[in-house]
Amino acid sequence: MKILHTSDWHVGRGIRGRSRADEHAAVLTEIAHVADEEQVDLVLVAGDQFDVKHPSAESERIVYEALLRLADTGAHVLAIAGNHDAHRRVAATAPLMSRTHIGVLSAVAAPANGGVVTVTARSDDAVARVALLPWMSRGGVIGADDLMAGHKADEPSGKTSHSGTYEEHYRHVVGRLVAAPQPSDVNVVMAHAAMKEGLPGGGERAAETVMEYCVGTDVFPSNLDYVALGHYHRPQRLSYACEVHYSGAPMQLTFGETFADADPADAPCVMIVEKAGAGVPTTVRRRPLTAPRRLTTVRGSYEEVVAADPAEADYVRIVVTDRPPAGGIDTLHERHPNAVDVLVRPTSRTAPTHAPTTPTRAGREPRELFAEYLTENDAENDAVLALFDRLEEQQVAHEQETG
Amino acid sequence: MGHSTDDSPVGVVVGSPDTTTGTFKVAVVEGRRLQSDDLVHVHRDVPGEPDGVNLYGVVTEVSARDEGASFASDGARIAAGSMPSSLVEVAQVEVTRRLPDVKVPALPGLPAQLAVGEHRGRALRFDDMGGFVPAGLLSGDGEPFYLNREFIDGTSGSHVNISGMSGVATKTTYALSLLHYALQPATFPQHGDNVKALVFNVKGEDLLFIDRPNARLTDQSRADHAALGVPAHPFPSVELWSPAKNTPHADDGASSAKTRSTVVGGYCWTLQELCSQRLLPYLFTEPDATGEIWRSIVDTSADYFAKEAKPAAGGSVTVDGRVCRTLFDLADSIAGLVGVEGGISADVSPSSAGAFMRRFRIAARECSQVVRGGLAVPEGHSVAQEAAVTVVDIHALSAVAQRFVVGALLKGVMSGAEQGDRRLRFVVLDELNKYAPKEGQSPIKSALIDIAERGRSLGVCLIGAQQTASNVDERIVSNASIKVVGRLDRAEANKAPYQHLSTSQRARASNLEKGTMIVHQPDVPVPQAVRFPFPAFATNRSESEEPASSSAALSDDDLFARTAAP
Repeated sequence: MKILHTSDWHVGRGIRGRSRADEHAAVLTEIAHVADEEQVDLVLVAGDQFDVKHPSAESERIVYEALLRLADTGAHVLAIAGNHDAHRRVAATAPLMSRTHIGVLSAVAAPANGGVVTVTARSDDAVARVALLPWMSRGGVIGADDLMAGHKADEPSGKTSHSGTYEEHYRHVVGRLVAAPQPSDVNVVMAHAAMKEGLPGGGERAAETVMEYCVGTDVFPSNLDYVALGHYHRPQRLSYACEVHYSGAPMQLTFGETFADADPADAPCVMIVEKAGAGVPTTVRRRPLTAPRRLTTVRGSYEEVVAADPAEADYVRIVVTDRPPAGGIDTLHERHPNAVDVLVRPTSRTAPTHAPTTPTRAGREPRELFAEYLTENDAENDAVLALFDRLEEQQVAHEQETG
Repeated sequence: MGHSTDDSPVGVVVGSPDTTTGTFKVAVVEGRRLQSDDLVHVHRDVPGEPDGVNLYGVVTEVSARDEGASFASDGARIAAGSMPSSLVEVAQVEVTRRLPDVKVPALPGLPAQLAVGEHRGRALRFDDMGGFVPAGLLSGDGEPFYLNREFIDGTSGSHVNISGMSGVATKTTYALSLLHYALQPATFPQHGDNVKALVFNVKGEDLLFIDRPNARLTDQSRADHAALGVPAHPFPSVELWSPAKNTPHADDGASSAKTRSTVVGGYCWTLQELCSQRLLPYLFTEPDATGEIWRSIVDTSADYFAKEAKPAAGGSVTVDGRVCRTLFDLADSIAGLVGVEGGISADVSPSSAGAFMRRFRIAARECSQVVRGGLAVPEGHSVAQEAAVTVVDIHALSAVAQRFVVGALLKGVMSGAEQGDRRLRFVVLDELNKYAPKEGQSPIKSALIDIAERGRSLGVCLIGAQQTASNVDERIVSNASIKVVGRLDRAEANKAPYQHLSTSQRARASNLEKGTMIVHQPDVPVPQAVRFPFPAFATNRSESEEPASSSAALSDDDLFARTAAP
């Protein structure tokens, strides 16, 4: 059985106000070509297909066309909702999708209710059992447990028994979904989650990578054949008793996601997973993508950045470390029409952190992070902060209501 | 092989000499037979136990005697009928289990049965085991014998150690057979298809054929496999590696294997890998290369390379601006720094520094085939271990290079496990006396002792073998939960590592047939003689079936017609 694993498309996310819709469409078309060329039996899309909960019509067109193109290759397509996706929107499209061999799950469900899907390979009749774990918000955890146990909405769910941590609940849910894997089947789990052993790429929503949401790889049983993860934007293999991988985002989403510069092997890609038969371990290889554009930062003194010559296809951010002369910014824009951002950060002031790194952001309240963001960007404003507080309250209340 | 399904007693417990809680003797009933390795069962009543107590034991010796004879010449008279006597066969039985565990002796006069079915399972403690790893068929009754899975997967213990004379003891074949049984999906269901094994090939190119069916497989062997519940086919998922060719032209690094060259990968380490993974100590593994000063120079140099060696093209490195494409280049790059003020290990004497450099150059020469730079495709030479079984051929390398390869791979296995990869991993290594001898220290010996002591909790199971366990470091042999003995040299059998065998078993060991091993596992107090089926995988080239080639099937005329004239 051959599987293509991708995730974190974040369609709708632009760069500094510019749309990347065409690029997204090109990248997703490339992924469909890869699926066709490799003749995969199953495509796993592990969440965050959309960037926001209310995507534009154009984003919807791009995502749905991509899913249809993947299904057209003859493979089965399974997708789950991530933390950026609106669960109920995803659920609304599920009935339509199922008519074209695209399975979509928006929220954790019991095995009989779509939590586990069985797929037969077209090449060799191999059977894959795929357990689906869309993003579980903290508010949704109690709901997921009740769902597994089949509690009705108005029955008391015995909340005292659910007073464990997020990780305990997660392990509990996985256990129900993966009960008794069949040795002759290909046993797969697809999840959108923040694993403790994983490394974020940099463009993930900080509030949803904090420690409370982190789960250890040992929540997964060691006899699985593959665990397809989404959420972190960096492609990576987690060291565990079975193959556990993040496919990473298929393109660089923020300037801070520079891991591909450090190691070219971490460039945007999809995972091609092969399980040749019973008794043969799973093999995983990366198939790099050529369509995405790189986001590069050119940093230096005014003289240096004027003379710099970044690749034409890249999106460029320029950081000037000294004070440019009058009219200098305009000159820079003329010289580098591809520059999407020009920042002046004289090195006498403390340079801003250009990527949210989990160690400094973990465990901090959203409000604090937002206040810091305003300060860093010289935009302190009490009225905006107050608005943020109100909106956050509303959002939290809304989430808890709807689970 | 099997006994009749007669339910009647096979013998009677004998009262003289006394029976004890640990042993008793059974006089064989006329018309029945008892042989060594048979399992017997005696049931006795005991006050306070409503269902009585079941005693289980194994026959360790059978003797026969003419009762009434006192002199050797009586034998002839008895045979002629002019002297009365009783011919009796008596079996010595060692108790393996009491159920319930009331420590009472067998009572004289009680009937003894052959332990079959459920009783047999209880005698061998199968009913207590959490899971089973097939280990062969009991010599005595030809029925399957199992090891407790928890003493292999690390739950309660780990590691297997096999001793026996080369050529007769079939150590390697047994080790691979055990591996074959262990890799069946039903054996470790909690690990699924994620179990992996690393096997070192040390003799000829024998183990490069284990993915091929054995052409000499007999029907008896097929039946034995079926009895054990193991399919009679070769290893389904095998990766083969031989050292990469090192001729001036072949820089693509094809393997140097003479057989099956199309499927065997060529392995080597790049200089980059040597430096970044700190593999330098594995170049210095001579038993006499020990001592604090020595180790400190090696370790400091390894640190130096880890920090200073920058990657260059083709797996080479640049150290301090100079490109190093071979180990000699690497040695030259620090030649002027060792023992020198401001350099590496500045406090050592010039003679120690000189000795270190000499050794480095010797290692560079011996290991030039397995550690290289300047490769056309540096990525393709790393032993990937993607398949279930990875065979690494080291037989044609020099001793120094062999130790490097083994050390580097063992280090890789342990680091992976420490970083979280806790899948069950087997490592099959023969000639342990070469890698972990009793005397001396070396990085490889430390790595093996580390595996023996810590491997269990990291999911690493060492299946180690040697001709003489008395020449292997005691920590490795004693940490093996499963101890196996094949045909042993008589002098060896009486040494310390074989104390777990009874006197009669030690004598037996010097006479074991090929394919029979004496297996000891923690659950069962008495080791069992076990024979294993002729393997279904080929153990050398002659056993591997030749694939039907289109040329072989042609008649002479057709074959020559096919061959075009120049």
